[in-house]
Amino acid sequence: MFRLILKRLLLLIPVLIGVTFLVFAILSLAPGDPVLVVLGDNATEEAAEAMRSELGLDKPFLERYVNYIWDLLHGDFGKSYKTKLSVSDQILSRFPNTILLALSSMLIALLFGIPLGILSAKKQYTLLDNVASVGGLISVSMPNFWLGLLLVILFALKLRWLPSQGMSEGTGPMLKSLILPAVTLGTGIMATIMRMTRSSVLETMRQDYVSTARAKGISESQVTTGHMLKNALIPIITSAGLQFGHLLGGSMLTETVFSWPGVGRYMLDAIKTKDTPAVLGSVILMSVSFSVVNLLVDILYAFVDPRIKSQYKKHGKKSALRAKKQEA
Amino acid sequence: MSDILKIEDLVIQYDTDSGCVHALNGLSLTLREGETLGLVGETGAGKTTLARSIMGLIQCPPGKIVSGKILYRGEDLLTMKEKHRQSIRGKEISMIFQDPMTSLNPVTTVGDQIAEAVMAHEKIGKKQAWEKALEMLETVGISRERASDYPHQFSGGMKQRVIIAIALVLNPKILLADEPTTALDVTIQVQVLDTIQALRKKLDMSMILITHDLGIVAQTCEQVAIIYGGEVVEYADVFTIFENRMHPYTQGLFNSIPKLNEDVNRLVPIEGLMPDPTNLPTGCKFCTRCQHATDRCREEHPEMIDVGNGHLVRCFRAENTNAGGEQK
Repeated sequence: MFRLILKRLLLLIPVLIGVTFLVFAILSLAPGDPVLVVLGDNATEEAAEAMRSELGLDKPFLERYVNYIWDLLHGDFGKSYKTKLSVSDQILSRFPNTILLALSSMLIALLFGIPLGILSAKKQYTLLDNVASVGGLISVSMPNFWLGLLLVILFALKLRWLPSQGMSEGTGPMLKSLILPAVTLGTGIMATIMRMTRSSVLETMRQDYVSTARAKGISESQVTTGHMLKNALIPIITSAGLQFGHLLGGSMLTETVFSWPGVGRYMLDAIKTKDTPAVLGSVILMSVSFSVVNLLVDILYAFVDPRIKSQYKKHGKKSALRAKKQEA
Repeated sequence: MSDILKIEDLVIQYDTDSGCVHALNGLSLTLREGETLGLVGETGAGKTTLARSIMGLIQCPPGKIVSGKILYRGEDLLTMKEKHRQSIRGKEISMIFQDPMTSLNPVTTVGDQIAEAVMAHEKIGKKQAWEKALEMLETVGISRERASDYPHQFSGGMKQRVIIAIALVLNPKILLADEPTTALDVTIQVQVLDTIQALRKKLDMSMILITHDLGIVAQTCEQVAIIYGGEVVEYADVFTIFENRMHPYTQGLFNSIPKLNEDVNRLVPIEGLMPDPTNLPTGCKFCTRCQHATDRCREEHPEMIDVGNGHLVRCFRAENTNAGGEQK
């Protein structure tokens, strides 16, 4: 198990090199000049030139990239072109807000998605199942920003129950301002998890060991949770883990709609101004959190399924991945 | 010996896309206390449906119990409350399933799976339930240290022993064994059958053994019921079935066993196939494959005829053999 974790963490290095290079290249190739964005279109040629050399933008692409990586190895994420503030400080101060939003929307999604999925599997083809299926389809297809705006119109503008924007000070008001963005983000994920739970439980329902369990004379709820759900968990964990990885990278649209001070919004602002160090910092955070969550999911598998655990023990990573593929 | 289980005119159908499957068509059967009854028939004859209906494990829908009674010590299992039935299931009547590879929950230790059955029916703590489970494991020939292992760590024969342990841990009065050895090697078959037989005698159970292996019937059963097209076509004690079988289907079954004392080049099968269960013949169910079939067989459904000594045959030809016998 320890070797698995170590290997996966080492794998992060090539991932990060690839990701930063791609982002660096895209931002360099894209039209627009960050210096002009910062100084404004009316800036003099001299001022622009001075700023370019100050930021090192007059050097060739590869040299700039190597310099960036060199600084990165020393723990320096650079300074924002625009605000001249340290990128790592800026991101770290926003990251807790993103984590808070990610956790609460995930909580909503799991709390409603799993029970609804089980219910719809057990009552397959009934009215309840159909309603849940259609509802799920609608929730998945609805773009986040649109759902967010609808919720704002209803709960903030019409009913005036909840604040429409920002993150309020103090625990109570803060939680209140968290509700709308969390619900907006959680709805789509809930629908995905619900569908996944439904199909996974339907699959386990037909297994022979469920008959064995019933034949013992235990109650139907024990059969459902102890035998069906326990075996149905792997795909649910996989999809929930992927979603959570995405959420930790910051959800640009939702954070923008609700002016939530998170990493996603920071990155969107940085992209708009071609603020390369800021974009790179956010992207690195996104990739690392995504990889770490996936690693955690793989470790979680071992606790859910003893067959996977024994694979980890025996041969390490490769066969474990193979086992996972077979599971999928 | 008194009757412990009496099945009267049981009719079970499955609603499927390709039509209504007539699984059981007025099946009647009696199991006496302490007796082993062999249930023999081809795949699709309705053997497993019968066993599952006694356990109350028919999925409704698509299954439908149209009419009939299953009397356990005079009480109808089909009309009693689910709660009451649950208390009988696993405690008084247990079942061993066909495929040991898939009949155990892969993510729970075998000890837990046995203890779960104990705790479902007896008000004792987890520790005592485990102690009972460990004893039972030893009874079926598995050392108690292995109780905390998972099913994937056992071989097929050992898994079947675990399933036997689950079924017998509460000393049930009736054991339904649904082809308990079909999925096992011949050498393991003997061991498993011996285990079941020894425990049956020790615990003084009645047993219904479902099989299509006539050798196992000769070895273990006292009474035999031959099932075809969802009804019993011949019922007698095991000696009568082997020496003096009368139904053409039973005769066909025995003819298809290769004889050891003759040179046999080809097996002698029963001509034709099982009739489509969505479209069974109106008369005798076997008339489409019977070489003695007459017009009467094709139009009129034969009743069970008692030819003496409790030997029942569902064939018009038996009427002649038994001039004085009464119709039953």
